[in-house]
Amino acid sequence: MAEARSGVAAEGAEEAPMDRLLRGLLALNAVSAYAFLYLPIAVLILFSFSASRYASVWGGFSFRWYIHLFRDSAVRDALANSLFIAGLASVLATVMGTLLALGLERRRGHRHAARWDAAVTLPILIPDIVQGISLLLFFVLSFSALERLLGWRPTLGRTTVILAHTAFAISYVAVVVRARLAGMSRTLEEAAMDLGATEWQVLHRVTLPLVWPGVLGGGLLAFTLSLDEFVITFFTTGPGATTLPIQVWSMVRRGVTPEINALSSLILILSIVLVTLSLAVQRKR
Amino acid sequence: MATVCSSRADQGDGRQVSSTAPVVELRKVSKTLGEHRVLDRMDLEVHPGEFVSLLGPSGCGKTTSLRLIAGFDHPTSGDVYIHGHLVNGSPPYRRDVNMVFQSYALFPHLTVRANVSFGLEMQRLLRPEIESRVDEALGMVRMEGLSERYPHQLSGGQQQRAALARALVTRPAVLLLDEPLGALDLRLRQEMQGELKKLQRRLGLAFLYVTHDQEEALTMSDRVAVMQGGRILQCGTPAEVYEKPRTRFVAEFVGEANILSGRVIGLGEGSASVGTAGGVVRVSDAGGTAQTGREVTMVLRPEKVVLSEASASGHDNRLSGLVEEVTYLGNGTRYRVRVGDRLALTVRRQNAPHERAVGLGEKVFACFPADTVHLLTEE
Ligand SMILES: Nc1ncnc2c1ncn2[C@@H]1O[C@H](COP(=O)(O)OP(=O)(O)O)[C@@H](O)[C@H]1O
Ligand SMILES: [Mg+2]
Repeated sequence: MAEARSGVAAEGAEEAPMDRLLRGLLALNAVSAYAFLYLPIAVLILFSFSASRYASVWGGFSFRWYIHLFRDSAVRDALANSLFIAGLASVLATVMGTLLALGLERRRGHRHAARWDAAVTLPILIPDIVQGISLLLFFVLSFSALERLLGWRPTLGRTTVILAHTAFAISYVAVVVRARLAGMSRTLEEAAMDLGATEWQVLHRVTLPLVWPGVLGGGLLAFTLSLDEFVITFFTTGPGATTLPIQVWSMVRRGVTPEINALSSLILILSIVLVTLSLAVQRKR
Repeated sequence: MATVCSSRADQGDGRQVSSTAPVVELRKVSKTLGEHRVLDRMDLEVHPGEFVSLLGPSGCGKTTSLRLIAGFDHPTSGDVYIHGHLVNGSPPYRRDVNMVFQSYALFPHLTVRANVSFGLEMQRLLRPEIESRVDEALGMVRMEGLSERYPHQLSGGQQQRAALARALVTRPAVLLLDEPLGALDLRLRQEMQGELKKLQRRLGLAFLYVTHDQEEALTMSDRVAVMQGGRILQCGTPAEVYEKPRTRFVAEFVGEANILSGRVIGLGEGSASVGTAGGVVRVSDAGGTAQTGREVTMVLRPEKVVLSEASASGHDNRLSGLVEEVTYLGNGTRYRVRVGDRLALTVRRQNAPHERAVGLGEKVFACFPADTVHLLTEE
């Protein structure tokens, strides 16, 4: 007994100095990595409560800039725009992305199925700026075509932003719903059909109830992404369709004020809430 | 070559006679998946109230046959009939058959009760009738008390019962069961075997039962179809399949078997003498298939052999040998007796009272009557 205990003690004492060094370095790295990730954000939130007129000077605690923000009609309009655009774009993207995921699931195992799968995921990796420019080009060309056909030329605005946001969000929704579908066995659909359910009945009695958390999660994700989107919006927006990120950007051009800190903090909190919600519903069984 | 699996002697146009007409019939059904021929001109009939097992090793095409009957897949060639109607292209929801899946496939978002009523709701029955039939079905599988539970709140055996109730409640022409007890532990499996069989008899429902467990197939079925590589090798009553296997594969897959091969050296009245590696073996041959000089293969079941000391007589066959392996099995003992350089027999003996234990290395005689040796007619 005593021998065993002393053995353990000896083992503990024998830890190589290099091992301890490695552990120390890893711990240090972890601390700095998290600091990197969150310190700037913490500072931003902190300074949004500063009473000072300057964005980077601490002037004591105050809600001053938040009150200022809510009185700013340009910000209120931008918020309304953003919510409207995100709402419509996320609904459209959710419907199309979900149907796309269901269609892809059905093709699983067929020829080229993997390629079609990849083609849905790919846009997620395309740089925003490329997507923005290509959408702008697409809209301009379509407008010219419409003008030639109908003699009426639409302009860039809320509609184009909604279409652009829908376009990039479809991929995200499809990926989230696909993940949910992959966890659901095709056997369940077969069992339903075996019991007399037609394809439509299977869809609404079995498939949709089971993938619903994925659909909702995907929709919330699409909403969040649309709310935060800047680059693609920048290229496809027009007069009267200023979104929150665009509003922030135009305010920054006039100089960074604590009001921007406050606005950014609000956008941040909203995004965190939405993403958390999205992940929570996706995990639902 | 291909075996027609039918319980009737006449396989002509009996389909039109409604009383004996099969509820399910496969005619020369083949299925190719990718490059692989999964089913090869398979013929099968299931008659009303009959318990038919598809028995075969994993990958022989059992599940595929059920899927073709249920309508999840369609045959590459050949015809599937249900109630005498050709159903080749019709979707699963138009077929009067229900499947019990190996994975149970209970709907996880529905309670047991909602799972069971699913099929009746699809038939648009009125609520009171649905309720009473669901109660009845839950009663049959003794699940009344658990009807408000969700599948994930049930044990494996309970999920099994729920799946069974769900498939039974619509009263299909035939129930397709794909290794329904495969996931249960031994005790529960044996208990469920008895219950399933009782339920099947009581309801008079036809079962097409897939299993790779030969004991299960033998004990439960009216007829067993032994499959290999997408074909039915033999189809018959459990006794036929066990006692009179047609091929070596069937003999070895259904129960334990000693395979003896040799050349016919003499013919008697309804019997033949075959020279084997363990000596001359007399075998009854009522069919007269043996011809002098021909190579034949014979099957001898381990429990037909009696081990005796030197002088026991009155047996048709007496091969002398040496006990080289003894395995205690609890209710019996398995011996391996070497009767020749290239032949050892497996012998099974019950642990009955007054049986003298035979020891390792002992010299014994393996005795068995000629009519317990079965001459294989094919291959
Ligand atoms: N989609 C498929 N493509 C190609 N081969 C398949 C496919 N599905 C099953 N198989 C093959 O068909 C054979 C029979 O399968 P299955 O009917 O499931 O056998 P069992 O139920 O008897 O174990 C197996 O060899 C399997 O590998
Ligand atoms: Mg199988």
